[in-house]
Amino acid sequence: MANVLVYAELAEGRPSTLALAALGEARRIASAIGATVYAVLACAELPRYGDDDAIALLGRHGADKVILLTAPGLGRPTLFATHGPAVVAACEQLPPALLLFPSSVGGSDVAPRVAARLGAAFAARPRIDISGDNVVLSRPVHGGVCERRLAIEDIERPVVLTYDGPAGEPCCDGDAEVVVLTAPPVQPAIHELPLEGGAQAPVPPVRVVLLIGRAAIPDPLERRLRALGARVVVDGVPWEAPHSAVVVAVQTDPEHPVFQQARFGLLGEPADVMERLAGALADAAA
Amino acid sequence: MKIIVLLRRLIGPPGRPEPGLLGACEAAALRAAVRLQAACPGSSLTALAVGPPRDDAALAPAAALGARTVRLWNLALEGADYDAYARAIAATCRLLKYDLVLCGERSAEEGLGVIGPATAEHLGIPHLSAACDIAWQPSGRLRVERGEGTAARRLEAAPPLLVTVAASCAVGERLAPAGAGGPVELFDLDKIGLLPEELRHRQRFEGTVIAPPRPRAEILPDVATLAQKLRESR
Repeated sequence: MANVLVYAELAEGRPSTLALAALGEARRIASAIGATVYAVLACAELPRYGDDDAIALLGRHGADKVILLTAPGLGRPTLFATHGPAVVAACEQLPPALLLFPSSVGGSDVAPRVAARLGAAFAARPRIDISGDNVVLSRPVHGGVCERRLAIEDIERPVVLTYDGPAGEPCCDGDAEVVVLTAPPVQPAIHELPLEGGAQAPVPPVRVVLLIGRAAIPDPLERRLRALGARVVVDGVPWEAPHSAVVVAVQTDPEHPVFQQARFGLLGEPADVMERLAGALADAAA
Repeated sequence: MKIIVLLRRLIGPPGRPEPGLLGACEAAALRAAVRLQAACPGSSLTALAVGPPRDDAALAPAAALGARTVRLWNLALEGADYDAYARAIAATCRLLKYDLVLCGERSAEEGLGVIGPATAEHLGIPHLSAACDIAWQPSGRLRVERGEGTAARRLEAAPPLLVTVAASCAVGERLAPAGAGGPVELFDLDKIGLLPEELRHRQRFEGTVIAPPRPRAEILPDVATLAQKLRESR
């Protein structure tokens, strides 16, 4: 039986929402193709085994088994340098057909390098379509004008992907079996420095992505919008919309290609529309 | 300090006009590379592109800034996936010698964010991704700041190192229009010690690009209506 592995990234000691979302998707895929779902839990110390703890939560969200690796360095935020070796160790013990990472900053740092280590195919934030036991990964390219599709059954390599989606409800009643593996020692060549004055101010999560083609808007306006949860994207800038965000196109010409990439559109000079939108978002936030 | 910056020319979707020369991340990587070279006297800068002759244009801004420019190409790379490119880039970097490799965090077209980390993997060196600020420390280590969701994080590491640069990275000066520069050196796989057979099989893992019919955006009458839609979508 094939193995589907999910990296169970922790946030505040609990599996993150994105990790649970990836796990739920892994469960859906594994049920279709007849695979076993393993959640890879790499943490600094052994978790508790209470009803509401990490292992129980992973079991309720679809893990058949939890691969547990502990080492002191695994308490740090996720980077390949800190958590990659543990994930690779899990893959060596239980070679995956499919390996899912939450599409977090940490998951996006670890996933591509693990993919290269495994010689795997890689997809970032694909839509996952299942028909019978066929699994097809589709993701937008060229700003959503085209899609790149990869059928998993067509390749004889593992597939690594990052996943972004809403966490579903718990789907399983049974407890996940725990498999304890030895975590490789963490000797990262990368060190964390304290953030003193001058560090970037936190920005709110992105709620709306504004596509404006090749237009330009003033930097202060762009910063105001960012502080209000709106991200402005011009041509040439890679972008991805969080699953909870709304994509809006703004241009003067209704035939402009950006209107093919968005859910909503506004006609007008982008700078003018952005100015009015910043006002409306500020009013709504007040 | 030997610095290599990876550049590539933007590719437009089929049937659309040619987009700009460099993606925002690649432009940010080049700006940062120039700044880091200037901040470390005696450093060299090489710009490397992997692609057909059209990619020479992507190297022009770097050549105008005095960088050595190298382009690698072989038809075995046509339609190959990230891993073939990362292997080829890594082999070229080894040949060129490097202390620091910079590249864009992700391409504007594909948005995978995989080439940098995969290249670091094939080089066997640490990588830092999504740098939004980058500077040398007095110790000779590199300090990198990255945004992490709603927070920021500051990391440092010693070369040899690969750093992927986010589009938001404001390090370095705005790039001037390309002027004259040295000629682009052309490398083939045999020069970097790879065989086409080692890369060609990766063409199977890239998938197929299609242009599905897409609904157009719902045009809204004004900003107030959009604000209302955003409230409803929460």
